[in-house]
Amino acid sequence: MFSISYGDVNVMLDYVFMALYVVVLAVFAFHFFMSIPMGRFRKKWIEGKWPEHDEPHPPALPKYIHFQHLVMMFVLGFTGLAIRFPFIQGGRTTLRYVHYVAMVIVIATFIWRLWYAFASKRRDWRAFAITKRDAKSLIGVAAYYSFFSNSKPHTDKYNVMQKGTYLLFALLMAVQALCGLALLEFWKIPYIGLTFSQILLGWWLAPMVGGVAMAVAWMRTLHYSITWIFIIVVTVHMYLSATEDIPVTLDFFGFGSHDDAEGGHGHATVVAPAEEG
Amino acid sequence: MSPVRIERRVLVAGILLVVTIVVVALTTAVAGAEVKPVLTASTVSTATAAVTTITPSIAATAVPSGSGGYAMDFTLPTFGKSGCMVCHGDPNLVVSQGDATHSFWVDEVAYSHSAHATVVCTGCHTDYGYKAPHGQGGQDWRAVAKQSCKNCHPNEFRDWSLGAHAPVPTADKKPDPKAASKPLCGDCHGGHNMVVLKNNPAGQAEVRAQAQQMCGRQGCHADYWANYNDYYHGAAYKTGAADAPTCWTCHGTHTVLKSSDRFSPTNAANLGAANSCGTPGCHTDSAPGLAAYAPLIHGRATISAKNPVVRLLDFVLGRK
Repeated sequence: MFSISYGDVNVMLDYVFMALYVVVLAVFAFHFFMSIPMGRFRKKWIEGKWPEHDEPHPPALPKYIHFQHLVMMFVLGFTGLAIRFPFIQGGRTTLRYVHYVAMVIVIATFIWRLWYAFASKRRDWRAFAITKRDAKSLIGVAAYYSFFSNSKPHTDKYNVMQKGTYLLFALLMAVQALCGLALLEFWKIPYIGLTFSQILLGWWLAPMVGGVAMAVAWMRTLHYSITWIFIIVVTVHMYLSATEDIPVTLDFFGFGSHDDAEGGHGHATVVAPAEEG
Repeated sequence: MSPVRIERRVLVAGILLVVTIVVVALTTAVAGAEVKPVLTASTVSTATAAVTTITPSIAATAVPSGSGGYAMDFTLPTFGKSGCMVCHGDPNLVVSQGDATHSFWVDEVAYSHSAHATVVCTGCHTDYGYKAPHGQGGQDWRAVAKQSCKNCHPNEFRDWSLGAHAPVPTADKKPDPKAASKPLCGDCHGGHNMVVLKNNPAGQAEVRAQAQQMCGRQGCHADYWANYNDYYHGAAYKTGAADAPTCWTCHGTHTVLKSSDRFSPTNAANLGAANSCGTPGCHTDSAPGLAAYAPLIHGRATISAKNPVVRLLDFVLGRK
């Protein structure tokens, strides 16, 4: 059995994640401030030289799927945190049902996006695949974001850190969905007579922590932690979407227009892709 | 018979009738004036007639005595409530003790909707029958009234007497020195407006929402009410979550025991039991492992205070 104090872990996670989030916001402020002496602010926001793009407008379907994910993930995050930190009078029942509905929609949307990536006519899974050339560009991309370099290696539609982030999203969503299902300790699946908690946790975690109920408690802690990782990564995603390429971000949500004739939105400094192999 | 003689006889009869009416009216007016001060006060509580079954048979006369108390040279019928409500139906009925004023008003409307609507006053206030003045001479009327619950609820009284809320004689068989601070039935269940619980979900919900008033009030367990603040139990209960446990869901109802007592449902060894965390609707798959969660239920604030991030923040902000 675990000897770690469940209470200590949970309270620690609360403060660590909240502190981390404050640090992330402070880093954003510093990063945005640093873009002024480095000339990026002037180039983008004053001269309007935003990054070029390899393809014109993104198709409508992934844009819609992204929007649906965005809304439902916000609903899941809000209701989830309101369940853990109750501040709405009247109890959690409604919040839980909203959370369940959003969960079903997100899982369906995720499967929809996987179908689009791997099985549709416009399958785009290669855009997210990290190649050797991407891996080699990692240091250069990291140097660009941390102002050690003023040019970003261009290898593909998404850079290696974007790809890594989007793959992390997919992985976290799958894990989060499984964790969420494992929390359903009351509803018995018809004809099977077992709960999701019993099926998903009863054979491995429950014996380790002293019962299914405690296994659910630990799984709830993991679910909560992944929620915070989502919050932090999404915040980073939003910050970089706004500061690195606001025109294409607006275009992705149906605002503004994409300058196809200019190959994007101007002429940001890019380096030639490295030779593969 | 001549018409003149008939008129005289009618005149005499009329005069007699008028005199009779005047005498009766005067008599009634005098009698009414005697009871008026009491009845006027009683009628302030308007809807009293709903439960009043027997009216006072003898007019009451309150005469202030010179000894600081008062004398009530009357006997009221106590079989029903009406006699008591002559005085206690008055919202202005208060007794001053030092700087404090205590209301002795009984809201008869609330009483008529309570679980004891059909119970007469002396059904609980057993030492009150035909006695006046009451509340004088060191009568512990509260204890009598509350302990009289056992007459109708012997099982609940027995359960209570086995718990930590019951006075326990000392080793040398002296009365419990803490007896005065231990609650009797009415301290938790209330008095004249006791809510109907049987087949009454609204009443059950009303009582369920009163954990602070019952258990967590000042003088009882205010500290435990304040630190009942973990994520999924206390914090949720305080925002009205119907599925979050109230005090007695975990600690029991009448036989409340300290958690250190091995028979307590909140004892670490019993947390997996069907009357503890394993209560149907709670954690049906619970096991002794749930003890790992227990310190958080009343200990989140303590754990937070010891958290290094919080301590660092306190140090940086100079809060401690």
